[in-house]
Amino acid sequence: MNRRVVRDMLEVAGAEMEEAESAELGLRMIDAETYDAALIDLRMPGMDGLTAIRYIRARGDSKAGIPIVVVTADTAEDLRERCLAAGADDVIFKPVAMDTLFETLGRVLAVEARRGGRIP
Amino acid sequence: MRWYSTVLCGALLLCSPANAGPVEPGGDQNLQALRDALLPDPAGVLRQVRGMKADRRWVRRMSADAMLLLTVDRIEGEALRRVGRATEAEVLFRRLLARVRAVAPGSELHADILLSLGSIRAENSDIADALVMFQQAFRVYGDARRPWGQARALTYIAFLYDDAKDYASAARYLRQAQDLDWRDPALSLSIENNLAGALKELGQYDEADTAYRAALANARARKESGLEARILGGLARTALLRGDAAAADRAVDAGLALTETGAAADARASLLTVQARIRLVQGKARAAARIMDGLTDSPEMKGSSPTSREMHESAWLAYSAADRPADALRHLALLRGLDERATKLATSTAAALMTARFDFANQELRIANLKAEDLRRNAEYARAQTDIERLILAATLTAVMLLSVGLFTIRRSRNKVRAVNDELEAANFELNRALAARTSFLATTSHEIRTPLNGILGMTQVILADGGIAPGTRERVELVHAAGMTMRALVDDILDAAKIEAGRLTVERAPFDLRAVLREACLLWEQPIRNKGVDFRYDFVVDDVPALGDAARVRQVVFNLLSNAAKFTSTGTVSLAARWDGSNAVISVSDTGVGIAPDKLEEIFESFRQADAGVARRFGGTGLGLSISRALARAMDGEISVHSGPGTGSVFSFILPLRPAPVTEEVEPDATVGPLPLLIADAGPISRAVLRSLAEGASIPVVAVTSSADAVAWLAVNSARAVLADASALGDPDRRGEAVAALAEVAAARQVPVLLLTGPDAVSGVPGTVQSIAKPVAGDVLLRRIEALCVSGQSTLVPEAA
Repeated sequence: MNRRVVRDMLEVAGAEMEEAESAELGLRMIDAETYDAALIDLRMPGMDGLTAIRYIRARGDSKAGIPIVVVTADTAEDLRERCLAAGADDVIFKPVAMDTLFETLGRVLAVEARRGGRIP
Repeated sequence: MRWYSTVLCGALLLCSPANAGPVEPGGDQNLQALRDALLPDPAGVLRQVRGMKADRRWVRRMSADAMLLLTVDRIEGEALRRVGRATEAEVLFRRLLARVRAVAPGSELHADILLSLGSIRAENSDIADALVMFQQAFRVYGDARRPWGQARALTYIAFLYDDAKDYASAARYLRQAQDLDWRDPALSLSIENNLAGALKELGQYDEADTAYRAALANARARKESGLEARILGGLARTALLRGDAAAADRAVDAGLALTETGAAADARASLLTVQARIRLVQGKARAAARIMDGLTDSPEMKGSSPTSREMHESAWLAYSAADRPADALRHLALLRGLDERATKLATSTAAALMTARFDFANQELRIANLKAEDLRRNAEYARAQTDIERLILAATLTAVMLLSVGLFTIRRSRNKVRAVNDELEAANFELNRALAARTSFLATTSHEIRTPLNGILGMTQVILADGGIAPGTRERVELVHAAGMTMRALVDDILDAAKIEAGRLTVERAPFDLRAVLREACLLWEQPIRNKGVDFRYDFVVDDVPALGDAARVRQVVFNLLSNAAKFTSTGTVSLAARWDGSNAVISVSDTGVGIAPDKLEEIFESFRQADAGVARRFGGTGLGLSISRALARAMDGEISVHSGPGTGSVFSFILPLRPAPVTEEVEPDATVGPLPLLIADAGPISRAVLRSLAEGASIPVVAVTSSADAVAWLAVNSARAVLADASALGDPDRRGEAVAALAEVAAARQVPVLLLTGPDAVSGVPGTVQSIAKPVAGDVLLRRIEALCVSGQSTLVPEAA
């Protein structure tokens, strides 16, 4: 349900999204494809989101720098700090406001763009 | 209450030791002498200060030094407090607080005054107020980098928890105070002694013992034999609880030896009481009773301090063991009286603390606990009374007449015991229910609410983003969306309340525009209120001066008040007004709704309270909004008050002290006078946000629109440094050329350069004046082009209003 929500929102913005049902699958998809950004939930079956982020950041190639936004329904107080410490670029809390999703994605993509990433 | 009774901590904390307190600004040597004299001779200090203030020459000479005059006033207030004129002291401190907020907000003196005022509120059993003030004092001391003051504030907070019998919290705050970086032997002594007491209550006897020994060494070094004797008493009690009667005896003997010499004489009764308990443990009931006999006439037996309580308890136990039931019953009755009072006090203190902390189910739980304890004691009393009546009965067995009366009494007493036991069971049931309530509270606030809510609100947003849906459908989906947003607000409220409860609420101080916040509130609430058939008015008499504050929290309070007014008003008017009163903004929300009965005016600020239980059913809501709003207002040094009567509507006033923002603060760039913005036109919300961030990251102000038509309209009245248009903003793919031409024309008239970002399919008919760059393009490359464009744009342009 929640992946569907984000996908439909991104469709409104004209962006495409591919889904992974678990962190392990997501990591394999990043291996195989090049994406502009990754949206990661914290609670997933199997590997959790923070571990997945650490795996991505530990990569030896240019994909290690992919902009990562955490999307979560958790509201623990130090959550944002923990996500940023793990290597996320930003955090969005559920329920997701569409404007916030777009603004946040824009911001993290701009950071990447300044470093030479392409403009969508 | 503790505030008065615990002379040890009170006396030590309230004095301002010369070696720790920094010299007040103003440099008047007299002040230090006055402060030092506060503890031994408050009446003399009061006379002296009043004398100084009556001396016009002195006042004239000092009139330039506002801080010094405030300091003198503070000493006067402390002196008034100590001579028992608390009401006058409170009035003075309230005035001082307002003045220090104007003259020296955030100063050490500001915090000192908060601490004094908080102590007075605590003495008046207004625990919630006291807690807020101590917390504010802690924050202000922190901002002023005064760890000594922070430690004092924490110690005062610990006392509040101690009064509420929440020893774990008390110990935590005392340890926090110890961990700060300060040196003041008197304060460390007080903290060690109180920490030891709390640890003892928590059953951590080894830790308590260590803390008492540290306090003892400290008291010895300071040659405070009175304090030493009291600490020895604490040490002895701890040893006794640990089952080490010999060690307890040694400590009591050492303490009693000290009481021979005058200064420590006060501690004698308390030490002897411990001795009686030791004798009881040793099985020497008669010796214990003899010791208590010696204390019958001591003044402590008549008081209501913890010492008195302990004495009655010891007397009851000693006389029971020594087979003197009548004496035992007398002391048990007195003990019960004291305990009832203490329980009531602890319950109300705990309740107040909980209200201040917004501890929902915990509050119920702790009160239920206390009630159960109280009932257990009543049961014990009733049982003891039955036993004693049975004894009396045995003594009068010879008289048959009396026998029948006696039997009747026994039956009645047994019934009483049974009734109390039933009550006890009911209390246990309540306790379990409170536990269950807490569990369910945690369950509701969990992650699980937000996940389905994300599905609902996510989909409504996606549907509403589609311009093609039928108007009727749109209206219905908007309703679903609004309901989802309300639900989201409720979840946020509950989380906020939990944050306040845990004392983790923080407010920011950043420049913000009060009027903008108020306008936003109007925008959001005007329509929903009018839709109910209620008129909505607003009137702001506030300047557009940037002030320092927490915009999000101010918004939250104003929204809560408006939501409340909207909820309870079905006909008439809701109005929002704002004006300045000195350095305070006064924001009031008035309604012509159902109103509030006078006896409910304070209750409505308690968590989960609405004027009556039926309200929740009729009007909905968690009942948390007002309590959160008040906590937020107070965290911002402000207040919320209410005037109302049933049927006459209500006026809620939110008083918010605002400091003007420093003039050096960067002001929001203004398109008419500041640097001209870069105009971005892009239909894609994400790519638009990327372009905006990219430019703003390079300190270029941005105005963003979604179509080239909007860009044309904007340029018709404003100017820009340059225009960056994405092909997506050009609308209908077949008419892109026309769109570009229109944009180029109006831009050329303003001499604004245009850069077009093109996608995979080229745009035909782009005029020569328009530069273009094809995607995909790297962000840094595009940024350099934008910067070059902006520079060229500026060189050809004179800003209109400059």
